[in-house]
Amino acid sequence: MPRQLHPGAWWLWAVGLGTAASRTTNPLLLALVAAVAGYVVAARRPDAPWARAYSAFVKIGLAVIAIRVVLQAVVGAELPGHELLRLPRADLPGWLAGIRVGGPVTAEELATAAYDGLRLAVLLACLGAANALANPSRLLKAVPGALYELGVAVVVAMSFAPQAVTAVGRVRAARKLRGRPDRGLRGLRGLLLPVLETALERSIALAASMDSRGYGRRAAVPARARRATAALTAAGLLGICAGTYGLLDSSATAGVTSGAATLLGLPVLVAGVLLAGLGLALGGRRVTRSRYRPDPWDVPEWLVAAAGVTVAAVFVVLGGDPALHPSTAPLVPPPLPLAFAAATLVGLLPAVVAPALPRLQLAAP
Amino acid sequence: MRSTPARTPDSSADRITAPAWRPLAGRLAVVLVAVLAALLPATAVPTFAVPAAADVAADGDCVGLVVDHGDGTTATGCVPFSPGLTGQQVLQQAGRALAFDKSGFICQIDSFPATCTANATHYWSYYHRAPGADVAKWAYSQKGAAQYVVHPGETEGWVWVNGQRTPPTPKAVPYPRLAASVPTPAAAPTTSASATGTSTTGTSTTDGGGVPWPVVVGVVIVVLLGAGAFWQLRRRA
Repeated sequence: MPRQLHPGAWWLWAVGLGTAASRTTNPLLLALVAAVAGYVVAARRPDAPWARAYSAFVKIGLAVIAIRVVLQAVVGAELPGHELLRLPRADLPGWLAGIRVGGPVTAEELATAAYDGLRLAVLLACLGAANALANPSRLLKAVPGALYELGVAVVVAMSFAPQAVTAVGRVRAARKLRGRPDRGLRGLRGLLLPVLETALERSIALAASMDSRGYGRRAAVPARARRATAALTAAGLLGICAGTYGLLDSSATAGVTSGAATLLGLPVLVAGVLLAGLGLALGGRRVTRSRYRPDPWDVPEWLVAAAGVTVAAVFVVLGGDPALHPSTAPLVPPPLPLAFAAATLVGLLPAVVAPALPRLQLAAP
Repeated sequence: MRSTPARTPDSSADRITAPAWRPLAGRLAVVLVAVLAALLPATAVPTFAVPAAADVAADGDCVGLVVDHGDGTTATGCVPFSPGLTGQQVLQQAGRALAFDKSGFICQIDSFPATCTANATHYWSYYHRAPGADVAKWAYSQKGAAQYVVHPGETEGWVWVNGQRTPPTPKAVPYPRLAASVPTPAAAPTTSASATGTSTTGTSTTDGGGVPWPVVVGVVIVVLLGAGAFWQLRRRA
């Protein structure tokens, strides 16, 4: 039966792909991750205003690559190798020793910069996929009851990106109607401020409407219980942040011995999740809030989330493979490790298992 | 004269304080570079040939080189001076094989250490010794090897810091011995100990190989997925 997938499942899938992308600089694998995300978006994106988020984030990603490569060419660390061109050098005073401006540009250093930029761009593309596929207002419905005191902040934070993408379309249409430029640099100038303002205003309006419906109110909870909940949740979230950092950023633990490195990753994350879960459960018990037609978490949701987690797990567990970080000095064609390519293709599963979307859709607030 | 603030070899007070601040300055510099590299991924130690003014190559002058592995192995040499010669070129002309990590730092000299894993506590530390200076009077380099322009009669020192709290200085090999060891201007490498084989880590170029099949397969898959996405959009429109 056609229905919308639980937004949490889309976010788990996208975060899984993003985790995989963050563990590699292999351009073939990165392109594959972006293509997989793009295919699923094309197959399952709703006809909603925020569904254009994927292409918007891809464009931001392309800008990231361009900036990274240009910076590398002008002021980057020089890697010796095949010289492509020689920029004029600028003489800097002695106290700026260590910074280079201009000079030879080698293929090796450009490739290193492009690989690095591509990784960030693909991460952004995964974020864009999540924003395009997941319905932001439905995601807010799934926010745990204990967090309802933070409801307003969460609403503004979570709905900003989709609202911004929606606002771009509206402002652009308005400018077109008035005969003003809506593309290129000149269009951007007239676009930026209204878009930021509109997106923020709409987020705040949404938060205000939730406020008027009882979100963000304090229930009659004893002060001690509230403090315990807050402490547990804060400690848990801190643990989640530290654990995720250790898990995602393999270079963060490069200087530490491998034992301490694994300690910083998974155990801290698990402890954080447990603490936060305890805090939420404790807080949620005191809050009685009914949900109108809650989104089901069914077989398709499990499959979509599992697809993302599988991709991430393969990249994290087999993370030591040198094929994930192809050499740029010497510059060699990147390899295509089969295990990782196959794992990435598992990410295509949601294009099949996610239920078809309902034909008629009402625009979200 | 010099682009680096080389300290004059004089007072004993200076000599006493030297061991205290030198490691600190070295570590600070490493931390600073690491922070800079983290903030601005594109900043590091690069080539920047400052024209070395008033450096006139005296006849027969060479630039000494001491590469101290820190485990008792030391490679030495002397490279004929030429104007604009950088510290990195000294290493290369002495026949030392260099490997760079992706930030452009030298992480291996003559394939030592075995892996390219330099970090804030394990790294090749770079020193200079002014011409005629005391044999153990190494000055921590204020510039990267590709940026530092050497002077005739100077000695370049490299020592592997293996996590020591007080970073070591290169072995005190006197300059006359280095200069005597240079056989020809062709700069044949003079290796004083073992473990400095000629295995190079950075020279396996693949210019022959023909078609890079992994790239072709990867691109084909990505293009197929793109075409599939396009078809999906058309079908739904």
